[in-house]
Amino acid sequence: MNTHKFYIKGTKCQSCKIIIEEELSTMESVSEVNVDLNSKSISIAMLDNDNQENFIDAANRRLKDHGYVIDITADNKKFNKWRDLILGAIISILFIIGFQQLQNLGLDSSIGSPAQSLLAPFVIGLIASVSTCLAVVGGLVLTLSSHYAKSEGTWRPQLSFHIGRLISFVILGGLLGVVGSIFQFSVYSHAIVAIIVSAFMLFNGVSLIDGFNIAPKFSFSGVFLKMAMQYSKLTSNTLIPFIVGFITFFLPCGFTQSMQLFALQTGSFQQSSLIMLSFALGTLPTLILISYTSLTFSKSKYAPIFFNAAACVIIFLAIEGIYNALVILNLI
Amino acid sequence: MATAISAVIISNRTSDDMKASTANIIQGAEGNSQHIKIKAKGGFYPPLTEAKANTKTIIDVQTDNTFDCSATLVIPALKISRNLPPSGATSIEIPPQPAGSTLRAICAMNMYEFKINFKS
Repeated sequence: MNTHKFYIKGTKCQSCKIIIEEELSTMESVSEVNVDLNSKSISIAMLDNDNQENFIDAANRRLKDHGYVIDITADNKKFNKWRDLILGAIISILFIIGFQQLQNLGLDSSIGSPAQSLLAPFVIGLIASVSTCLAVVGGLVLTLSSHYAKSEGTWRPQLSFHIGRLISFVILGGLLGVVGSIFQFSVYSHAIVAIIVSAFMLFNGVSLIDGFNIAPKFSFSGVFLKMAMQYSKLTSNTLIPFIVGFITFFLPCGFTQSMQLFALQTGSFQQSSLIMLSFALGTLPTLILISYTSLTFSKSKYAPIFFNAAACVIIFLAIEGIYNALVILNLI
Repeated sequence: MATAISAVIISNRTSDDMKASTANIIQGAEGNSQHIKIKAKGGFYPPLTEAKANTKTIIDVQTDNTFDCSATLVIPALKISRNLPPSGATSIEIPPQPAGSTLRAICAMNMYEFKINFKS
């Protein structure tokens, strides 16, 4: 005996459920019928492996006079997929335009000197986190948040990411003070890192598009994650986000680099470390906001729209990131 | 869809109908060198300069508590990149440029740019 799930169209009231159940249970191959008006679905236990299409034809002949139609797929399921994608795309466009308007406010030129106190790097971090740097690091946070929100939905990967980033800025930031320019990459190395990160984001963005099953056949990050998951869930949920957070130190963000230059000149591990930590803490509120919003939306009924909007933003940022890197490398 | 949107937004960044400035240029004594002054803070100013072609050219970049992207100057075509000090002047010499050419300089994230048109 097999139980199949079908979808029904044309139901208007409670009595429809009774009518349909009665009508269909008189069919030979049917042993049990259960209609769920809320989800417009029918669960039918069939006695033998009747061909689905034949069964549907026969069932529809009986239901036609009542005005019902039974089908394998929900009538509105395809509509929902496209609706959610378009809504998500519109939201992402609004967000991108709003973000560009934010840049036009010219917050960047209002920065004061960090020589005064540790408060200054913190403020610079705050400003950086709503500037174009948001596209770089924020985009990565959004990618990670959405990915983990979809697969397991806890705060642990997000926390690992943020801790990884802070520890990286403390340690590598401090090392800048003593060892200096070893950790200062050239603009070209930054561009290469940007291309790699953007490719990672692009693959993830495409796989986030909800309901269409367009996960790319081969995804480097996907392979990497699968390998890690073979080790232990701990690795993939904790270690990988931690590592990604750690490498944000090397992402091309003009603010980060200028702070690194400033920290470098102090010549002291402690001072350099404090400056970079202060800067990283300044970027924290915005990044946490992204993590938290992603997690909250992913659990709500707006989840499909959220994932589509996130996917569009991530794909846009990834393409822009690759474009900018190619410009730096003089390839465009 | 996202690709199309990206293309539209990226192409809207640069506008070609800016007025070229010449006020920021100091010509050398015998006319065989020129200094172009550029301010780097929250962007590069002026965004478009008209300078002499086939002339030794030095770009003097002035920063003033600059911690944003303008602190990282890149001229991709000449493979020049400099991390500018937060405050101060940095001189960058570039080879004489042919007439009719345009040199484009950007910050490390391609957020800000300035151009120099070289006219004979």
